[in-house]
Amino acid sequence: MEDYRSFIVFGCILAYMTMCIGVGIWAMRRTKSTSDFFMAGRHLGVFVTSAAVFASTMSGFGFVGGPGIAYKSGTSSFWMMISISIGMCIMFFLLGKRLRLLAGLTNSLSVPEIVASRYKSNRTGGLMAIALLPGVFIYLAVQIKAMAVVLFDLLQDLDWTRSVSLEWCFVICCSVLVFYCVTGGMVASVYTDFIQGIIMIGAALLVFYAAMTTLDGGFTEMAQIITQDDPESMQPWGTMGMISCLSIYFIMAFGVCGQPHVISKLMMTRKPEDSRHLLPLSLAGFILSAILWVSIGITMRAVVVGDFHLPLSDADQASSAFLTQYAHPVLAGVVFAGLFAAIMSTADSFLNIGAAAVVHDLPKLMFRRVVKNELFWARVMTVVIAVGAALIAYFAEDTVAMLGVMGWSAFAIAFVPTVALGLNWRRANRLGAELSVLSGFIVYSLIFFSGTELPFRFHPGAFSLLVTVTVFFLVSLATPPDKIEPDVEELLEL
Amino acid sequence: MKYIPAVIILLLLWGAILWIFTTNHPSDGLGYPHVRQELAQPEGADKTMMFQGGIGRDRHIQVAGAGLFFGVVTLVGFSLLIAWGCRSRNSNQEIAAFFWNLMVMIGIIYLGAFLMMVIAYQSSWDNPFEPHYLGPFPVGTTLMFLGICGVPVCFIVLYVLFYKEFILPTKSLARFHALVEARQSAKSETEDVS
Repeated sequence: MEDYRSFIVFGCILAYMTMCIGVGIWAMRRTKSTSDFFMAGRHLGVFVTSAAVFASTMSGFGFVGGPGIAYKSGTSSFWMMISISIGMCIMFFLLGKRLRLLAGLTNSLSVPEIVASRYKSNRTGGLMAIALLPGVFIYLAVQIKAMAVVLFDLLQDLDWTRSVSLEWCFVICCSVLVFYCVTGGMVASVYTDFIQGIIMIGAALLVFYAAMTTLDGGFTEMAQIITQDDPESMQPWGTMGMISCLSIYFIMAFGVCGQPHVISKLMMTRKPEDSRHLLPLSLAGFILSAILWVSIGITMRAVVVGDFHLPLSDADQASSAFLTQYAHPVLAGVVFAGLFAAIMSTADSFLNIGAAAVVHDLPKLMFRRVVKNELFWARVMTVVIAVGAALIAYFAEDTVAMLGVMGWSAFAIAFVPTVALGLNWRRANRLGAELSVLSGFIVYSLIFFSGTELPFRFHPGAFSLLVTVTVFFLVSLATPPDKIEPDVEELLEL
Repeated sequence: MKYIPAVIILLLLWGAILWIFTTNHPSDGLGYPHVRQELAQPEGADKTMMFQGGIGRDRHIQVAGAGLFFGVVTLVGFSLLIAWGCRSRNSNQEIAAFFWNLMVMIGIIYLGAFLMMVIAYQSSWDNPFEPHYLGPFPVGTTLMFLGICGVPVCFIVLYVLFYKEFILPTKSLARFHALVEARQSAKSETEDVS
């Protein structure tokens, strides 16, 4: 079976992509309006929505970048992952109920529209849509590039596909993604997320078993090998140190409730009270799929420092090296399908919210106009955004990689105070929301683009988020509250 | 008066950052390339591919107090945010004391897990190559997984169990449906007039 490893992996990827196309065709018949396209008609069940929430949170980074950082820096990497448990709690306690209620009351189709209703200000909502767009392009470009590169590497292993160029890999990945997003919109996106989520959990559990049996003594032996090489890399702060890890914990945990591709899913449930079951299911799914991150990260560091495996010339190869060396071919196939699933589930969410921002939010909030035949233009815009992001990924790859790092923090700065705090605090006003976003972006950009490293490598996103929240709080308190719709005001207290 | 907790948390967070930023930066405090060159920069690599942490005591002794303070304030802040998200006009006041006691207890356990993790880590400084193990990992690392990642699950238990009493009470849900209905009928009346 080892001789057919590349063929089996390729077969799994092909089956997965065919499934995505199938879901797209199935969902096309269920997508009849813009509400279906952007919000899946707001009648999703609990299991589907929870899978969509955790699959959107766990991007390809969790399957490739996460184990890579664990290989490079030891346990420091795990702070990004463990932060999600408290992060999801904060997200659901602050937004699980309120987003869904406000979406139901105002019939909003997107997060910027919710913001406009909350602050009774089209300008504030429009600002959110504008803040969202660069992030959508950058994040999407990163995901598309990751897909194309992984596919290209896989195709190099097969004689009859070796001639396929990287450009064609971009085209293939984009085509599959665009096909199911254009035909089925959010309906296809969440149902593929559901299947993608199951694949990710299955892959992670199989990897956990494979990792545990890599060395005779299991994880205990691996931990001892790493400790003998460098005790710090197996202790809680890893090689990056206490302050760096805690600042990562701060931005990742508090930042979850500012990720538009995740929180928009909270608006899609059939009933407001569904959020009760969404939280435990979403977190369980995330933790189960994150086992892969820990398993591969620890195993690869242990086998390399223990001289059982050659050093990696690129830390991001940790996952593929593990799968090639220590996993059964079928398992490798399932995990690679899981990797594509993780990337695509995040990418399709961005495609959807990007199309909503251009076709629905900006015309409505900034120009007070509703686009005629919105569903048609939403489909067109989905294609345009995907092609644009693919071109960015192809022609500006270094910039994209650098900007991709900003993504999580940038969304957190824009949406945490305005949405997560604003929907819970009646006193918050539009001036506070707008100034907080601007100040946060200015501070973050200054730190990021000047190349300044904060003391103890304190995360610039964490610092900027704290600036944003402070400005939001102080400006809202220092200026008079806005007059908003009485029913929205009452809803904030329910 | 009701803004005092938020003001205090923000002041403490800024205080922690000021403390961190004014603390001396130890050399190699943020890790350094692995001492084995073939691991740090193997053939074909253009940058460092593996780091080491070095001596825990040396790299953390100066910043341990500031880090502990920042961590405690962060965790207290997160717990307060979660408690803040439970407010509802129609919450069940009969069991409010019970609910809030549970909430405070979980917050304390969360904080306790963090403190235990820090203590376990610092106690490994004396004998770093032979730390105590809890399960497959050193005690501090296990507490990171089970405590920092695991304890928030208790908040989820509260969320699920007390959902109808504190998160979205039945009365609030009924009021929401009434508000939606009122808005829809107002909208259809406006459309009829136009």
